This record gives sequence, C-alpha cells and structure tokens, in this order.
Amino acid sequence: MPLEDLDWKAGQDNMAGIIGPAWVVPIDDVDAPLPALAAAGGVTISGNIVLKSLKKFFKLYTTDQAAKADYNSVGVRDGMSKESIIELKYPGDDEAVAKFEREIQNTPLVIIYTDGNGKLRVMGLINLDKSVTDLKLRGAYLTGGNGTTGTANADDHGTTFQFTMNASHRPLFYTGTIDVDSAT
Amino acid sequence: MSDKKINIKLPAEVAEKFQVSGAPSGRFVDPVFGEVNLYTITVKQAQRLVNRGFKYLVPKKDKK
Repeated sequence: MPLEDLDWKAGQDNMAGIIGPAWVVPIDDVDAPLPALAAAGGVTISGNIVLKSLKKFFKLYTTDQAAKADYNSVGVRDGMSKESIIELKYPGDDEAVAKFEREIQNTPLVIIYTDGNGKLRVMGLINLDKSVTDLKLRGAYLTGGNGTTGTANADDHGTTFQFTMNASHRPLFYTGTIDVDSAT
Repeated sequence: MSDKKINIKLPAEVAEKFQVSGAPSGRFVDPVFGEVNLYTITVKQAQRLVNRGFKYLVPKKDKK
C-alpha cells in the first residue's frame, strides 16, 4: 500500500481511553485458517477470528475511565518496531480474579478491545511481511497483574491487568465478530 | 484445517420466519450490533437486526 496523506478533519471525534470489556482467548484455541489483512500493507483484518470447537473468547470486565493503550516505538535506526501495551482495571479481588489471572499468566493470548473511537483492535495476530496479507499468531502476554486491597475505604481496590504485544505495527483493526459461544 | 461444526438452533417461532446463514457461532459479539444470541433471540429482535442489514439471519420465503 503506498503512502497516503495523514490529514485531520475539523470536528473529528478523538475520545481517549479504552472502552470495556475486553475479550481474551489463548492462541491455542484459535482455529485455522486465520483471517487475513484486507489488503497488503494495510492494518485492517478482513473476516472473522474463528475458534476451535467448543472454544470461546472470555470477557474481561474493565472499569470505565480506567483502561488505556500505549503504542511505543522500540528498537534502533533500521530496526524499529512497536511494543503495544494495554492496561485494564478490574475492580475486585476475589476467587474469580485470582483464577483468571493464574490461567492467563504465561499464556500467549489473542485480545480484542475497543478503542475510544469505537474501533475493535486485536493483539496477538500480527503481519510479518507487509507485501502479503497473511497473519500469524504471536500472542500478547500478561506482563502485569498488580492488585491492591487499598488501606482506607476511600482507597482503590482492584487489579490492573497489563498485556503486551510486539509486532511491526500497532494492534490491527478488526471488523469481524467475537465468538462467545462455548456450545459450538 | 477446521472440522468445527456449527449447529445453531433458533427458537421455534424465529425458525418459522428466519434461517441462519453463515453465522460464526450461536453467540457472538458483532462490531455493529453488539452481543447476539441466536439461541434466545426473539422474532422482534431478529426482524430489527435483519432490517438493519444483519447478514447472519435470512428471512424465509412465505409458503403460500
């Protein structure tokens, strides 16, 4: 895809933050064939992420106004790429949180979240060669799960999950569906 | 390659008027329509979705 103008329209929406919930699935549960980019050199996935039989995406509830994504450039000249990090705040400290965290830690994941413009973004599916539309599974990982009970009643009480993905690009845009059906 | 079978049973009154077409599963989050549950969908919900261009439900032809 050739270079295009990067302009800004007056009055364009540009709300900050991430809108919850996020959706999480281990990459081992993703079925073949993977979807592909809509066009070589593009950043939008065409088609659905299909899961294996009886597998589903799991919802990760996120407190509003407490989630964000950072898209950091890493590397040196002629070796630059992106490290994308999302942080999602879950407001609790019960058995469900402990179990969820234990299951996802050290597990490569596909994660779908909604950005402030209402666009679905995918971590864990990447394009390695911008001359082709093929995608590969390179999971995003849990890189932080700091929780606190707080001290006083007015304090915070919850867990901030941090997930990190490495690729040549930011999390890709996704216009497909999110399978939440464990019966098929 | 996938051998996943998709067998989605619509509620009876919905199945009289609509059939499933290419749905990825019985429950899914659609980027436009939000969470869709084809197992419990009502006729009204199905009609609203179809009117708005939902591609995974197709009206059945009236048998006259």
